Amino acid sequence: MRASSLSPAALISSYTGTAANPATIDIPLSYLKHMEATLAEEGGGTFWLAHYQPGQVETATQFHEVSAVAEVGGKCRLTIDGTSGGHSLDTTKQSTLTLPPTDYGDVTDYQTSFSHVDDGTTWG
Amino acid sequence: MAITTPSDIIISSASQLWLPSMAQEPLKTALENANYLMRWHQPPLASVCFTAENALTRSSIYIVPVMPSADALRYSLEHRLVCTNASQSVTVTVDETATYAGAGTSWSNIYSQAVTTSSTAGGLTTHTKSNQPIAATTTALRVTYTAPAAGSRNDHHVLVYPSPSAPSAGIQPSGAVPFDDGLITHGDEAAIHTEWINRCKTTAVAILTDRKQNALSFCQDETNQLHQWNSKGTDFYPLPPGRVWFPNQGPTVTLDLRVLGKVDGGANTDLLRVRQVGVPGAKTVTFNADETIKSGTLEVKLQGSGLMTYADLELAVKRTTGNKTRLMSAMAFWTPGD
Repeated sequence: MRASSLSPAALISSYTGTAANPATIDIPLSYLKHMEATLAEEGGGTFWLAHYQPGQVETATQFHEVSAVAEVGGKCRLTIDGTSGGHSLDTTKQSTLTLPPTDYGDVTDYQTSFSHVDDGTTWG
Repeated sequence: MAITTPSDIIISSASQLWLPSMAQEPLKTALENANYLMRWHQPPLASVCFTAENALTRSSIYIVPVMPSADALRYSLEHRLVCTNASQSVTVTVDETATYAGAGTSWSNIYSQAVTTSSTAGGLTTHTKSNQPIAATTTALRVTYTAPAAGSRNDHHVLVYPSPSAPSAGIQPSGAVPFDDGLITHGDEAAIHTEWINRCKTTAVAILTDRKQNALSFCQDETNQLHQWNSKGTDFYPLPPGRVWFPNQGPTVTLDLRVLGKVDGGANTDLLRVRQVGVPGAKTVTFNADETIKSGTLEVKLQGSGLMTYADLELAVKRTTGNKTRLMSAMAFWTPGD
């Protein structure tokens, strides 16, 4: 039996750039260490996060590529290098970031250590 | 991908919860149960046995204060009345308003329909009107019944309960969030995240607290208000207490009150009273009879135990010397958890 932590779900509080092509995204500061750890695993490269809006059509096709993580103004600021999926951020619809599915090509080992469907761990 | 609403709530078995593999289930079922609540949680917004004269040969009007859902839900209305003559035509009209202001009230019609009463003289007529939207800002309904062409009519009861359509996409004003299974069913490899776990609870709580449950009601015909309480001096004149059941709740419950009354003249301050009786230290709330719907809360100490937990509530009215006070409506609403 193997246990894992639930995947994070970070509510987006604000962003710069455009809704369809954000330059930065702010999420709660409590996610800073998680995002830093993910970035460190990539050795300074980039990692991807999945986007969804609770209650809307929730799919695994919307992603953001993160190239930097920093604390700015009491938030965890993600620098966005790329966006795919054709979606737009909408804070009134509670745009949220979580981890990519394990079949997503760019998911990191650190990210797959968090709970995913059929990952071999158990509820508990 | 779909927002699936089961027709029954699905309770996972104990064995399904014993260290199950990290899979779509049992989370998907739990989230769809939240969709079920959004569609099928239907507590009464109003359940009113009317107070009126016997054998009416005229129209009657009742003002029913309400606390509808913030989600502007559809409601279904069931009216029950009895006519002495068979197959009479009675027009049932229901209006709503955001602000009750006596004769100056601006009413919006919800529906009006001519109803043919029971084919049996003296038989019970039940008229149901389904799926009528009631605005979130509505504070009162006006229920009107017209006179039958022959014989008389007794108004018995109206029941108003939510009958929403299946959940639609998006965060609701109440805070409820439907569940779309597109992500969790993706290739059996989706992230199981904290928001889904929390959504089971937050949506259930949002629905339970948004759909108020009518716990006590008293509405009398606006046309003449049979009970005027003008002959009992200037002390409070109580109605017989009503027992309100709160199964497995307590030790206290706080009710939301909506009270409407008016006077013929003189002061209107603190002439309407709602209180719990039969318990030492029970609380009392008074309201002005100023022909506007007054709001307040009443904390009651529950008696009994288990399924037989209850509180006895009493409505009372007093007048000033030489004047009359009319209690038009008093409603108490319970919010689970309050």
